[in-house]
Amino acid sequence: MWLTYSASERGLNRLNPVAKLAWLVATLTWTFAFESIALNLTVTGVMLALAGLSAVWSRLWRLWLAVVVPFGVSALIIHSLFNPANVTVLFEVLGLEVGREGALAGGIFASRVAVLSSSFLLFILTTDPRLLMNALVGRGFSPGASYAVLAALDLPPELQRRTRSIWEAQQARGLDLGTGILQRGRSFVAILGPLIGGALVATETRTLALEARGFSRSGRRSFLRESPNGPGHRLALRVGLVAIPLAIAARVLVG
Amino acid sequence: MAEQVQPRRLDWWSISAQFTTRAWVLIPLGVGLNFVGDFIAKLFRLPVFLDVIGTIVISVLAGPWVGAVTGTISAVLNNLANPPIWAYSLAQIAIAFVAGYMASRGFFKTIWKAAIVGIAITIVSIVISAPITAILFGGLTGSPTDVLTGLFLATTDNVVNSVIGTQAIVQPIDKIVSAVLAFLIGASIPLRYRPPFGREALPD
Repeated sequence: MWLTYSASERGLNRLNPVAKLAWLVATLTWTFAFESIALNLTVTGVMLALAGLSAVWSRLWRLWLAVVVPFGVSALIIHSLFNPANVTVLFEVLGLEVGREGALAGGIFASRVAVLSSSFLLFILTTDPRLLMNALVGRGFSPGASYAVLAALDLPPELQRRTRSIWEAQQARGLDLGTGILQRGRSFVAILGPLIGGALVATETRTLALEARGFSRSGRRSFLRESPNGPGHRLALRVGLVAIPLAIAARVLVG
Repeated sequence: MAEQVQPRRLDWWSISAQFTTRAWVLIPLGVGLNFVGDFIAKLFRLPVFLDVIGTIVISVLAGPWVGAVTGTISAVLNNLANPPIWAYSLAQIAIAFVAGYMASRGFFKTIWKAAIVGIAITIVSIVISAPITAILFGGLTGSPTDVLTGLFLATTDNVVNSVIGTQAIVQPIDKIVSAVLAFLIGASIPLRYRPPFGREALPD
């Protein structure tokens, strides 16, 4: 599933994108620094609440559940039954012993994925990628890498559409999907050839167009759209940046 | 005596030589291939993932540093569908460097040598991914292969070994097929569309 940003002025959508990125990294750092189910569930709750305030809840919750539920079920079952650290038996199921230590470990990993999923989805759904890249380039990020990221956001859905068109066209020309794996492999190459060929011609055109627009020149750049950068946004960025080494220091001190 | 012409050795370590405008434009194509490779494999019900094929193609065409950027962007953008995947960007970077380095040593001149690159990539991928999966995610990925990991965990009592066992079953065919396909794709690209690295690394 390919998620895209939809413009909005609610909640986190208005916050400076680099500040949001700093907070995302800080969240991940705290999550991995401390193995605490309570902390992870609290952070997840905050993320989901922010999703509601930012009017992205309807797009977030299905995908969040699609990631968290399979992983969570897997983690709880496998670790509670087979984790090497299992000592205390909670109960037996079909002759298998469910261990307390394993169940806790499974809970930590499952809640960790819940934090990862909710924070990443919230970040993606509330951040305009173009504003983010402009802000990063303004802070010294490579303009070439910025172009690569933004173009990479648009290309996969386009390539998928082209793949379907080529597939239908090749089938109309007699492409046999066949039942054998070798036949399917040959058909696979028959699809990939025209797809890559078409994409390469576009690459050539794009290279010339970018060069004509001074893509490779060095020096300061200006942007058509600037992200908000008032005192509140700068404070949010600084707090987010400080939270990262704070998590590491807290972990080292706690042990 | 006529002067012997030494074969040109590719500077696989040179960052500035690799990041041309054409290389930056090829990166999104590599990222797109990583996504579409998986999509097409499912369409044809092939027992492979092909989620690093774009990284390998770009490493062979434009060099390992460009391939590493391709792999990193793929891993980060893959978070759109599966958030824990960003952690495996290290594996993508390692695959890019192995493919790019071996391309600079002539391993993408024939299909059989490309298959050897696939074996090398398999080993590197397992060595890097297994500890990440074990330490960060308890050995699980939320995919059907977790069943295999559970079975290994029941018999080995070691999370890392269980993940290695699962990866050793799942990865080799996928990575060897990816490397061979990358060779076929790269070799089919006309010379005029290849960056300088690719012109030397691939057969004419």
